[in-house]
Amino acid sequence: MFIRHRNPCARANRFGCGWKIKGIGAGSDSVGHHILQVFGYKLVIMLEEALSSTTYSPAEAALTFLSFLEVELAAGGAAAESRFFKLFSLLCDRVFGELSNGEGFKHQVGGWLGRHAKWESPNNSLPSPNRNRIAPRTPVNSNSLAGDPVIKLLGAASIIRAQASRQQQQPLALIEVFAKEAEYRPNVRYSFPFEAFPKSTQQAWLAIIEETLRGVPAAKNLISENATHLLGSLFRVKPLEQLSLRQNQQEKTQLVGQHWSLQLSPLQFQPRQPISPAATQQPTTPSKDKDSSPRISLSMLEYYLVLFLRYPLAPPQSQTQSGPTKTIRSSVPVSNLRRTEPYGDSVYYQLFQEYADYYVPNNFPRGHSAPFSPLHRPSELFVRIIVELWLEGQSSFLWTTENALRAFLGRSPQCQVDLNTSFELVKTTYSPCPSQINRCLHKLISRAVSDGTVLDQAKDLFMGTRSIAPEITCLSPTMAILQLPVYNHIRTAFRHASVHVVHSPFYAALNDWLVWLEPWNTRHGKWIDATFVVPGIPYLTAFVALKSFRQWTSSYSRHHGHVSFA
Amino acid sequence: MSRLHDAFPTSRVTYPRGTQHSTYKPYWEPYIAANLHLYTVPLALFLRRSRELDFSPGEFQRSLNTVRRVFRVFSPEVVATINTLMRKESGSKWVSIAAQHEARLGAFAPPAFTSGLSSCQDDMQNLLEEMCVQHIKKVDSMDFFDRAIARIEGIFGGGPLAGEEKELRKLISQAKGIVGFPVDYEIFSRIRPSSDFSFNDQGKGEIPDRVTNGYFSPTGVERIAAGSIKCSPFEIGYVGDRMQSRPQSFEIAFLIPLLVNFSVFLNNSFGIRVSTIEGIDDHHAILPRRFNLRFLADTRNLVLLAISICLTAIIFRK
Repeated sequence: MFIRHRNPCARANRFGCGWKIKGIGAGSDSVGHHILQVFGYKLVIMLEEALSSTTYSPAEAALTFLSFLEVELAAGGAAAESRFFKLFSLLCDRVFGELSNGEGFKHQVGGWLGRHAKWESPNNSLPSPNRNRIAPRTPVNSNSLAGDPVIKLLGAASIIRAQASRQQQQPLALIEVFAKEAEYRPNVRYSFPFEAFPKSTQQAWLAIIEETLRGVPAAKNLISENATHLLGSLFRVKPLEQLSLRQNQQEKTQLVGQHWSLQLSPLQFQPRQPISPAATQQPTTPSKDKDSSPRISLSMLEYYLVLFLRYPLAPPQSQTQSGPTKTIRSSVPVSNLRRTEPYGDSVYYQLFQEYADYYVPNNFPRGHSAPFSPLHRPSELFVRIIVELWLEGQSSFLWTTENALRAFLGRSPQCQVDLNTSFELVKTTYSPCPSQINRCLHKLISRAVSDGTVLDQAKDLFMGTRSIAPEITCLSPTMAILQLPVYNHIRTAFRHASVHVVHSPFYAALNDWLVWLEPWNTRHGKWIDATFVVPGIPYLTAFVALKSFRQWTSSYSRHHGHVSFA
Repeated sequence: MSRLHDAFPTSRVTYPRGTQHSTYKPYWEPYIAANLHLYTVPLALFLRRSRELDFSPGEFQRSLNTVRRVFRVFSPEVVATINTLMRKESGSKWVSIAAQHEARLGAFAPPAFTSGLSSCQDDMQNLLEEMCVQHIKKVDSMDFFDRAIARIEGIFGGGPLAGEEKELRKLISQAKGIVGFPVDYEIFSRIRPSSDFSFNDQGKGEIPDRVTNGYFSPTGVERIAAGSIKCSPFEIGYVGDRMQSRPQSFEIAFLIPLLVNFSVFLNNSFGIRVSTIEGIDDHHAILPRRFNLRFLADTRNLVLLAISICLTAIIFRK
C-alpha cells in the first residue's frame, strides 16, 4: 500500500479522498511533490509539538492531524509513512494518556479521553494552505459530539456514511489507515506490556506457546475458544514470534531451575526482517524499553484497538480517585447525558458507537435467502478483543458446569439437578464492569442482534426453504462469537450483582439479556441519520418547496409560454 | 442537497414497555432454539434474585416494571417452544439447532433439564409472595385520607388499591403461564379470590389472636410464629402521658411547649396534682378532667377551628 507513488495526486486518489491541491496537475509532479514535502515537514513539526504538549487544545491538534492525514499521508511516500509511524505513538499517548508501568498499568493523566471539561472547537485554526478543502466533512454542530474534531479524526462516521450512500470515493479515515497499515506493513509493530492484559489472557498466551512447542494440548480451562482465535490466529504476530515474552519466560524458568521446552528453539521462529527502513523504527518510548516486564508485539490496528478497548478498565488515576463515573443507562442517547459526565467519557462512548457501527455488519432484511456478511479480519479483531478484555477477562475464574455441579452435589447430594439449580452452578470471582463498559456492551449487543439477516434466516428455516445445515443457526458471525461470553456475563451479573442499586450491573445485564431475547423488537426502515435530522429539516423543507415550485413553473410555462410575477 | 443520501436503510432496537404485548411470530422458533439456554438459565437466575427487588411503597412500581419487562418476553407461544425444546420432544424440528447451541456453549452448557420451565415454580412462588405481601403491607398502612385518594385514583384505573392490584393479577396470570402453575393457583391459601388482598382477615368463629388487655393469646403467638399474621404499629397502645409525648407529624412543634406549660399552670391553679392520665385521681379536685390544651397545636383541629370560625362569621354577618 505504501509504495512510493510518482504522482502524489494519484496517491491521494488511491486513498479515495478525491482531493487535489490547486496547481498540482499531471504535468507538475515534481513541483507538487516538493511543495507537499515542504508543507508536510512543517505540518509534522506542528503536530509533534501539539501531541507532545498536554495543554494543547485537543480540537486543534486533531484538526492538524486531519490535515496531515489528508495532505501528506494521502500523497504517499516512505518519508510520510515514517512520520506517520512516529506520530501514531504520540497520538496514542495523547488520546489515552501514557501507560504507567505501575500496578494495573493505568493510563496517566493528560490524555484527551480523561478530560472532564469540553474542549473548544476552533473554527479558524486549520493550518492548511487550502482550508476549505480540508474542512470537516460534516457540518460542525457545537451541540453535537459528531462535530468534535477528535471524533472526526478517530471515528468512523464518515466511512459509514460514505458506504451507506455508496460513494465511490470514500473519505480517508484514520481507523481505516490503521487497518491498511496492519495489512500492508505487517512488520511494523508496537510493543505493549504483557502484564497489562487480564490474567486469563496472559495464561492463555503462555499456554498456547507451550502447547505449540510441546505439542501437548493445554488444559481446557486455560485457553478459551476466543483466546485461541485471537492470540493464535488473529493477531499478526504469532505467539511463537513474541520474542520478548519467550525470553522472559526462559529467564524465569532458568531461575527456577526447570528445563522448559521454550529454550529449545530460540532462533528458528525469528520474525521476518522489516522490509522498509521506516518499519525498522520500533516506535516505543525509551522508558518503556528499560522496563524488565515482557512486552507483546502488536500491529498498528491491534495496538490501537487494545489501547482503546482497555481504556475503561484502566482510566487515569485522577478519575478513579474522584470516584468512578456514574453509570448512565445505555438506552439514553448521548445528547441527553447528564452534565456531570466527563466530556472524555462522552467522546469515548461516541467513538465506540461509531466503531461498533463500522465493524459489526448490520444488513437490511431482504426477504429471501441471504447469507450473513462475512466478518472481516478487523471486525473479528474488534469483537474478539472486546470479548477477551471485557467479558472473559472480568470473569476468568468462572467454573465449568461440570466442576460447579460436582461441588453442588458434594454439598447437597439429595438435591435434584434441574433448571432451579442454575443459581448454584454459577461459580466465579465477580468483579463488576465499569459503567462505561456496560453501556458499550449494550450498544454492541444491540448492533449484533438488530442484523436483518437474522430475520431472513429465521424465516427461511421456518418456511423450509433452507435445510438445517450445521452452519445455519440463525446467528450472525458476531452473535456466534458473542453468544458464550454474553451468556456467562449475564449469568455472573444475575448471580452476583446488586439489585438494590439502580444503575448496578444487574440492570445493565438485564437490558442486554432482553435485547438478545427479542430480536423481533428490531425495527427495520429508512432512518435519516440523527446527526443530520435537526439541522437538515429546514434545508429539506426548502428543497421540497423549491422543487415543487420549479415543477409548477415549468408546467405553467409549457402551457402559457412564460411566467410573470409582475 | 447531497445530504439527502443520509437517509439509508438501517435497523434499530426498540425497547417496549412492560405493559406492551409481545410481537413474537412463530418464524422466530429457530432463533429460540439457537439461543435456548439464554432463555432458560438467566430466567431461573432472575427469578431467584428478583425476590430481593425493593417492593417497598416508594419503589414498588419500578420493581414491578422490571419484573413485567421480563415476563412479557415469555409469552405463551415462546414458553411452549422453550418447553418443547427442553423436553427434546420428538416432534420438534429445531432439536438439531438446539444441539448446536449446546455445543457452542461447550463446558458452560447446563445439564439436561427435562422438566421445562416448571422447575422454577418455587422461585416464582417466592417472588409473587414477596410482591403481594409488600402490597398488602402498603395497603394496610394507609390511613383514611390515603385510602380516600386511592379510591379516587381507582376510578381512573390507577392507585394502589385498584391499579396495582389489577397489575398484580395480570402478572400472576403471566406467571402461571410461564412456570405452569395450576389454573386455580392462589398465592396465599387464605386469600379470597375477589378480596382486596387483606392479610389479617379472620373468619367469624375463629379463636381471637389477642386477649382483652391487648396481649396475644396462645393462638396469636402461634400465628405470629408461623407468619400467618403480623403486628401493625397502629395496634400498639401508647404508654405514658400523651400531653408530654414528643411532637407528632400533624402538630405545630413550637406551640406544644407553650400550650403544655399553660395547661400545667391551669391544672396547678385548679389544684389538679395528678395529671398523668386524662382523668383525675385527686378526689378533692373541683373539675372532672385535667386541662390539656395540646389539641390546639394539632393542625387538623386548627383547620376545623378556622373553618368553623369562618362559617360562624358568615352566618352571623347575614
